[in-house]
Formats: sequence, C-alpha cells, structure tokens
Amino acid sequence: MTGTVFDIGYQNYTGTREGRSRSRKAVYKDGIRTALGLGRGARAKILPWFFLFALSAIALVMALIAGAVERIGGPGSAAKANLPTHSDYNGIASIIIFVFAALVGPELLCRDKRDGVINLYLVRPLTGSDYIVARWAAFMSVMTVAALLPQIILFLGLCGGDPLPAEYFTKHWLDIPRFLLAGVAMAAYATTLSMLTASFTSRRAYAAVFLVGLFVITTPFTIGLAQEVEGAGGQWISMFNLTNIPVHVNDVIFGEVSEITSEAPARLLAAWVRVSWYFAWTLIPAGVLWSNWAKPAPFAQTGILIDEPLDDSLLPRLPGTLDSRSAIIVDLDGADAVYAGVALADRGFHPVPLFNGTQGPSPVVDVAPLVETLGRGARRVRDNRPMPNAAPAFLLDARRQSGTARPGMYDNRWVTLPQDFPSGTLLASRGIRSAMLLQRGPAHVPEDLAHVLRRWQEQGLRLTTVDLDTGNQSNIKVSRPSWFRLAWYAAVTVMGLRRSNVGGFGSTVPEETSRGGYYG
Amino acid sequence: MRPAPGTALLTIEHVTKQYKSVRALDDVSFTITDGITGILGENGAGKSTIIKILLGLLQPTSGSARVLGYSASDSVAVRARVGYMPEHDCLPSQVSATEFLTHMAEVSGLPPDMARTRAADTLRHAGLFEERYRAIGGYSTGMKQRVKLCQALVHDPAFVFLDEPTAGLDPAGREEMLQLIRKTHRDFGISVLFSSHLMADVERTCDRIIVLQGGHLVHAGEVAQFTKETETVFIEVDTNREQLVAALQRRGVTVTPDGGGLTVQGSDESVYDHVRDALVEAQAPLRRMAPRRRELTELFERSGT
Repeated sequence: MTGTVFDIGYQNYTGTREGRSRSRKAVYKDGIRTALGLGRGARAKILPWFFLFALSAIALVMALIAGAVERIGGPGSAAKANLPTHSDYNGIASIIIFVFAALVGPELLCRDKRDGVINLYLVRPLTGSDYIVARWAAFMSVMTVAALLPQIILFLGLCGGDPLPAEYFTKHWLDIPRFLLAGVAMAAYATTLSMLTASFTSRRAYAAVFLVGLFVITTPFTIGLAQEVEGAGGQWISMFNLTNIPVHVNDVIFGEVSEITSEAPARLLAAWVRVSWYFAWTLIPAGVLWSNWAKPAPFAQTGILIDEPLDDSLLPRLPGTLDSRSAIIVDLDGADAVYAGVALADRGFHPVPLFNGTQGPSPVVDVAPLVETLGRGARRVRDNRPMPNAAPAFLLDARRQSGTARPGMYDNRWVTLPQDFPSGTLLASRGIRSAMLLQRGPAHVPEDLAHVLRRWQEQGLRLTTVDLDTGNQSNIKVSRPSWFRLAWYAAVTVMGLRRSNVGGFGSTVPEETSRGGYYG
Repeated sequence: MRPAPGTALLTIEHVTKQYKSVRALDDVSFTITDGITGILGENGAGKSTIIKILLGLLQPTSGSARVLGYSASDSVAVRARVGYMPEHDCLPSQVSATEFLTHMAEVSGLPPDMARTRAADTLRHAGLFEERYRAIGGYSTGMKQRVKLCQALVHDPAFVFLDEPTAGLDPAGREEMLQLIRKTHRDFGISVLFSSHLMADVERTCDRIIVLQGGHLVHAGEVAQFTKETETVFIEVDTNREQLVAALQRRGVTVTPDGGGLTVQGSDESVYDHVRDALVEAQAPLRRMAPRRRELTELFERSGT
C-alpha cells in the first residue's frame, strides 16, 4: 500500500486565544527554562546545575556527618557536638546562593534586551508589568527550589541518619515550616536584588560582576567598620552587610543565632528591626524594578501672575454653614478647586494651593486650565490680602490620581501626603478645632486624604464634609485602615515618591521598544 | 475570522508625534484596507513611528490611530490579532527556531499544543522546516529574516506590520523575502503593512502605497497610479540635443537635461508620440529611449516638502 502526502496549504487558526493569562504563563515558563538552561546548549546548563548540585552537596555532607556522628557516638551525639543543622544552612550557603543569583538571574532580563526579544514581547498581548512580574516569578521559583531542595535533603538525611528516624521527625518536624519560610525569604531577597541589577544593563557580565562585588565588598568592609564603631552605630553598620540580611531573618525564624551572624553586632538589634530591614531591602528594589515611573511631588510650576481677571460667574456659591475657624480641604476637579479657593479667600480663608502644576508633553492629567486659573486667581488673592490668622483652605485637584499613564506620556499624577499639611496639633494651637472637606457629590474620602484626616481626627479635630452643589453637610469618621492597607500605603509612598531608574519625579513613561531600559 | 474585504483595518487621523524638538509626524491621515500596503520614505521619514503608534507602543502627541476597529492605545487585546516584524535584530541566538516560534505563539495567547503545531506549519511555509531544530545563532541573514517574519505570523494575525523586511539582504534574499510577503497575503489571507525605503520593493510587492517625507504625508493611493504619475522617459541622442529640447518644449512636454541625455516627464502614449515627432523635427538621431522611474529623492523634491 502506498501513501500519498498532500500539502493542504496554509490553514488559518480558528482555535482559542487565551490572551494575557497565557502570555504571562509563557513568559514565566520561558524564564524557568532560561534560568535552568533547558532547551539551550550544554554551556547554558553548566552554571545553574552546578550551583544546584553544590548547594545540595553541602546539605548532603552536613547530613552525612551528622549521621556518622550519631552512629558512632550514639543517639543525641550530633546535637551535643553542636553540628550545623537547618538553622545554620542558610548562613553557610548564603554566599553560594547569592553568587548563583548574580550569575544566573541576569540571564532572564539581559539577554532579552541584548538580543532585542523584548521588542517582540511588548508588541504581544502583554504589558511591561506582566513581563517583569512573570520573569521575577520564574527566577523566584528557581531560587526557591535552590534554597529549599538542600534543606529537604538535609532533613531527610538527618532523619535517615538518626538511629531512631521516627523520633527525630517527631522532635524536629517544626524545622520544616521554619526552613521553608527562611528559604523563601532568602530566595525573595536574592531574586529581587539580582533582577533589579539586571534591569539596568543589557550585559549579563556587568550585572553579575556588580552583584558579586556588592556582596563580596560589603562583607569585609562592614565587618571591619562595625568593629571600629561601637554601640548602636556599629550595629547599624553591620546591618549593611548585604550577605547577612536574610540570614538575620533566618535567625529570627529559628530563634537562634547562626554561625555566620554570631559575631555580627547587628544580631543584637531587635528582631523586628532586622525583619523590617530585610523587607526594606526586598520590597523597595522590587518596587523600583516594577515601577517605571515615579509619582511627582505636589508643587505648582506657574510662578506667574496673570493680570486678566477671573470670571466671577464661575466662582461657586459656598454653603452658608462654613465655619471661619475650620480648616477647609477643597477636593474638586482642576480649575474648579482654584475657583473655590478664590471664593473662600473672599470669605476670609487663606487658600493654600497643593497642586502638581507640571504639564509636560502628553500629560496624563491636563493641568493647563488649572495653572492658568491659578495665575489669574493669585493676583486677586494677593490683592485681597488675607488676614495672617485666617483659617487655611487647602486646594487639591480631585483628578490627581486619574488617567492612565502609557508609554510616551508625561506622568504628572500625584498623591497627597500627611506631611503636605500641618498637624492637627498645630491647627488646634491656632484655634482650629474642625476640618471640612469640600467636594461635589456624595461624601467620599480619597485613600490618600484619609491618612491626613485620620491623623487630624486622632489629634482631636472634628471632621465634616460638605457637598458644594447641595450644601448638604455631614459628620464623618475616618476609620483606621487595616495593617495591610497601612503597610501597602507606606510601601507605595516610599516606592512611588522616589526617583525612578529612568528619571526624576513626574517623568515621561519610557517607550516600550527603547532597548535596554524599560520594564514596566 | 478575517475582516471583510474593503473594511478599514487601520485608520490614522491627523496624527502628530513630537519628540522634544523633533516632529516625527505632522498631521498625517490615511486609511488602510486589506491587501499589501507599503509605506515608503527615506530614513527618518516617520515610517517606524507610524508602525509603533499603530501597535500602541507610542502615543501620538495629537490625533488618533485605530487598528481593527480598536483604539491603538487600548492595544493589549488588539496585539493578539496583529503581528510585528521589527527592523532590528530580535532573535535569541541560543534556541532553535521551532522552540522560539512555539514560545512566541504561546506569548500571543495560543495554547501550548496549538502553538507547537502553528510553529511547525509556519516554518514549513517559510521554507525553514528542515532547519527548524538548529539554533538561530547559526542561521544566515536571510534565514534570520524569515524567522523574524515567521514569529510575526505564527499566531495567524489578521494584520502584520513589517518594518524594513528586506534590510540587509542580498538581491536573491530580497527577492525571496518579497515573494514570502506576497504569499503572506495571497495564500495566508493576512493583510500587510510593509515599510521600506526601496521603491522597487514596494512597487513589486504592494497594492497600495503611502509615501512619507520628513513626517509629512506626500502620497497615499494605488501603486499603479503612483507609478504612472512618477514614470519618466529617458532619451539619448547623438546630435541636435538642443533642437530636440526646443521641439519638445514647443509641444508642451516637460524636459530636463540628465547627464548626457534628457528626461521627459510622463510615460503615457501621448508623450511617446510627442517624442517621436520632436525627434523627426529636430533631425536628432536616437541612440536610446527607455522608460525610467524617478529616484525616491527626486519624488520628494517634486513634492516640494
């Protein structure tokens, strides 16, 4: 029987298209394959598999030694000999884990940039954030395996090497969640620093050398300096030993001081300080890695007085219930906030503009009308000469967080912070006992303003909201956000209000195809 | 599902793109339907900027761009239905073509098993089936260009953007690539927008043409019409050149000296009739007469932009 092969020609694809979720999974899967050299030549496999083997070998040797001591010296002799175990493993292996992260992690980002594959990813149904999060997650997975596999080998080895394995398991089963947690902490730290460094260069060697140098140099430098400086200063210098940062967390988790940190003055700092320090060194680089733009500081870039008068017909009718000894927060859209501020100045308040007036090319928030109105209103307010003891009226643009920043646009969005306002205590010392939020529509407290009002509330100020359209007034109580929301807000604030890797405050969102610099 | 013939696939309306002090595009508007459309322009004319705006990678300073009925700026979903072949290198050297294409198909949203099938099919159609398991780093320039085209087609897009697809290819490789582009539309049913600074490439491959210069739209329309408008006749005579010029000008023909010969504007039948009559009148022995296309730079000079 003979077969015939037919060329059925090009077939259009009519199956399912799974969109972004499939794209993310594909980039994640490819990240794991890249990190482990799968589907690549033999050379690409050497480094990752060597390190995985080396890390496992350390654990295996530790288990074999402990087993041998137990067999020769009898049950409990390994513990009496104070042989290293799970709590010590991360300290012993930390430098190898970091070198692994330094050499292998950059492969996931640098090669995409150097080969130009990033240009292909970003024209597919995938955002810059999807890409970087998927790459981070891929390397985190590999690092987690690298950190946990040896601990599992060690546990099995210690269990099997003990003359009474079941008894060993019963006594030490709590080590399992501890080493899992400590391993994940170690992996997250190494992954984040490695990926952050890699995001700045398209050459893997530069990233690797920088990272290895960072770990190798900070260790002797901080040890030496910490010995010279005694007390709290020495302890804090010791905290800059980057190799030890996750090991301190390991110590906190196990409740012991491991060999590597036993001489470090930082071990004397409170556990929460060491854990917070770890989170700072992990979350902030993660934020820098993820964020390709920075939130601008609120300031107005006008510096001009416009002689043309304001159109009085646009000034809002203020409610008659305004208390002249209340601090007012005007939260209205753009120029409306300025008009309200001028109207409040006419009523004896002192307007305090808190705007971001930076327009830039292709701005996310169009502030041109606001800036122009501010220029006109400034002359009128100046001519009115507000009284020095007038109650303040803080003017905010309610659109400050609206819009979507896309590549090529100037991101001039911003948030307001408690430090933009005087404290409730200071206001109270000037005879101001209440604060009024002037808005349009139903009462709602924006997330950023809630942190301001909650502090004022705690400091004794009574809070009310007023609907500018209806004049309806209601008392409000700002509840304390959950610890999670507080931590998230703090993290966003810290990470958002810093200079990004591509520019200063209020920067242009970079083009996705600009090679060598963009991870959104 | 393919858009119906004649449907506007891409629409650019009054698009301006300003990069600091440089205006890359200035109030450009056009519509593209199915078929192969070429964007012709010198380096820096704004071809790549147009493609990036249509892909949603750049935001226009003003104006709007729509792709397959969607705003280009809401492009994440649209990108699943378009392909893009960049001008510059974009291929990993270490992996095989089949692995790379499978991966890119998955990144475009195809399930893994379908991605593998599509990768093999696409490589077969591009003539790379036998080489599919070799690392891309070992490919010739022409093969790499074909892999670049394959990655743009692997998810079976409705529309594909090709940015200078013949760049860096020798004449044989260029011809193969142009054939593949024609096949992309004719056999695969995928519409193409293809940028080039080589007029011959666009003329041989495209149905329609968009000409840009310095960010301005110079021409948009059918290639045949453009060719007709831009063709000239080159004449070389042994003697009586000045008499011939005078005779042509008397007949209302635009003629300009061109080296040792003359270039006559237009290429329709009446021009040839005028040339014949002028040659007889001037008693000028004809050595050579041939239709000739204007160089791109001449076209731009003519446009006066």
